[in-house]
Amino acid sequence: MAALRVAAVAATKRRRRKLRKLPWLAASVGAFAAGDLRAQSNLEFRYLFYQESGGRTAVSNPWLYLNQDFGLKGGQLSLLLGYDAISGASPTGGYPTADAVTSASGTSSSNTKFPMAAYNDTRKSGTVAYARKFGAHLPSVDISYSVENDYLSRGAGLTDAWTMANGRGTLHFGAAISRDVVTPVITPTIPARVDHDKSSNAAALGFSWIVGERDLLDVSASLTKLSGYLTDPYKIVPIATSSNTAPEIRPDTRSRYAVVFKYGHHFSDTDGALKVGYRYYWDDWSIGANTVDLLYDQRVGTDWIVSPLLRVYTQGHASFFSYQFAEQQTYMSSDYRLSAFYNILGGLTVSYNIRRDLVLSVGATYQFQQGQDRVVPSTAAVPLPLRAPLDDGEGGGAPTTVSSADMTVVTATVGLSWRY
Amino acid sequence: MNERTLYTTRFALMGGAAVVRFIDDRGQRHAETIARAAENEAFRIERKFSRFREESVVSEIARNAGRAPVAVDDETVALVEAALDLARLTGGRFDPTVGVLRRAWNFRAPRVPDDDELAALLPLVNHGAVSVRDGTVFLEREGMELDLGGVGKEYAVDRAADVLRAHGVTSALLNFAGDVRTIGGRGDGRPWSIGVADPRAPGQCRFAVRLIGGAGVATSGDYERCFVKDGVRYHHLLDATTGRPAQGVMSATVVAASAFLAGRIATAAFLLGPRDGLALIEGMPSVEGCLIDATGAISATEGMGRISNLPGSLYAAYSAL
Repeated sequence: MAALRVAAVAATKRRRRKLRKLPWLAASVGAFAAGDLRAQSNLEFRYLFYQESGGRTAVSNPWLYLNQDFGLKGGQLSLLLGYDAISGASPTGGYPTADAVTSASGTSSSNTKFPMAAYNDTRKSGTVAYARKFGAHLPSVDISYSVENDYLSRGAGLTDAWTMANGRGTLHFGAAISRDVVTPVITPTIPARVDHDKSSNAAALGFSWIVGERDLLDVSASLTKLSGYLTDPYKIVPIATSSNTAPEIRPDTRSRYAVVFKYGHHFSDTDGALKVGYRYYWDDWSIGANTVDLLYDQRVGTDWIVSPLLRVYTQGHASFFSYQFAEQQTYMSSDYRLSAFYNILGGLTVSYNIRRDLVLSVGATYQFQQGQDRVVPSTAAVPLPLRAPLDDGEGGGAPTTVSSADMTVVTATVGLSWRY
Repeated sequence: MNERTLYTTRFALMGGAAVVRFIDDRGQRHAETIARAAENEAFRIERKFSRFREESVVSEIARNAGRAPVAVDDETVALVEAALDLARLTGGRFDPTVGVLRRAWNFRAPRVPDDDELAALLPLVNHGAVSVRDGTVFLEREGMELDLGGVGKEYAVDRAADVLRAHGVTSALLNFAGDVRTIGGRGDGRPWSIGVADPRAPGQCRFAVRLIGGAGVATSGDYERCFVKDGVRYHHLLDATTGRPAQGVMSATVVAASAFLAGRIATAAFLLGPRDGLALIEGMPSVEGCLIDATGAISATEGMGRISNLPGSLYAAYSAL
């Protein structure tokens, strides 16, 4: 599920929530996280700014992480505090079906933008974790809590990293639960505030192996069972001619599976490290997803590390996703997060040792996302030859297809880490 | 006979984009002929009535302002009379001679003219000084201009629709940069769906009007050719009595038998403000409409609720436009 976080390309509010609350999974990434678990005490502050194109979601997210090392017998206690200020708008699930748009005199002649619902929210979260080594075992336990206007989450996790084969291999496994309450805010379609329960039970198993002197390999798998209120209460689906819409309905259970392969190699001649990851995800909503990560850390001089990142993500759609439904169905959603799309992310992080114990890092990413489930915004028509080219953003006359998954995302991160 | 097909064509018109969609079953070559005829009619009206064209009749009338009446045809007389009717209907807030104020207002730059600038121009804004007599139009003061932009595009979309009808088209939708005219329905029993632009969310719609049968839909709004300075929105819909942009309404949309009529009433309602504007629409037979006021609230005629997804329905709340 930490792997899920890696693949969280759309980084939506819900997804962000889900991926944050299971820090125990840090252990499940095995060798790549082992360094963290052996680290001395440190205090870290980060600020993340996230912005989707087209006036969609923007998130301002400062967080503070404290990891206190009490020594071999005392173990390690960590605390993560986060705050998200979320604003912007999110596609409602409807799509542009108007045959024409009446507007004040201007150049706009058609409606190709998806209906949006504006929203503002804040999320406050906290996680406490404790880990202590017992012989070859490094068990850890964590509890987490977060609250938003319409969402309350309480979680707990338990994990162990079992070192074997003279320290060359680590078997890591764990389990986590969360018990959440969804309380949709009142909108024209939600007349009263009602609590809905939602729960998650997860398990993960993996193995890390030190291959030779400069290579690491980690293989892991996870299973998450969700149940309860899994519908997004703010999403709608167009029915038939779009003359009517209805709230989306998702199944009340979901089983999610993922397998993750990670490989790391250190290049001694350049003092650089390449990390390659592949993740395959599937669930019983028929979504399948592939993620490939390439991260390279290059030390420059004694104080700098430059880390370019490339990630490619593809996702198939849920069995009950469509931009329009002929009639009411048992399950139906037009939420683009359940549609087929791909996402390419490029990023760069630069870290600088201000002092031996103080590291400043600055990073940015850019994502390009395109939906593969596309819809013609209004009734498809046969374009007639144009007398003259027309620069009205409508293309060459062919019907323009659109997807609410289409967007770009930029993020900027600045962090300061102090080891003590 | 060929299969019934929905065709579409687009062209630039009067500074905007025009889209013509129609259903026909006589093959693409015939459809091209029909589309070209509608396009030609729209161009004819632009050439004849655009104030940006030297050869237009309104330019000729302006050149002869204060000097001599200009002989015009019946079509021109009808358009000028319609503009003057609108001026009277709004108590002079709309005025077809308001175009001279462009010398003070340039909405490409965020500059607000001072009172002296406007005072110097306002004597040239006077629909009472437009004389229509014996097939002539005369602007009584030199320097006056005639601007039929307030009705020209709506007239063009109606005339282009007439051309389609003359060619036997029974199902069409024409959208000339926001001014819409329909013929029949979509041809499959469903109505045409006309989104009403959200005045504060470009590309988004607040709600939709659904039409079966011939109708015109027009909108006047403060969100095109505008700028915001010091928190005040300045836009191109000038109150001719003050020389300044009318305030109180973001957008006025009217559905009527023709776009020509809808456009005039929408403009009048916008200039009159939320209360008087809605009263004006309600007082018109077979006319429906709505206004979005400065707070973003929608007020609509009762009939507008029947032909649109207003109000309060799920569809309206999250309009799937």
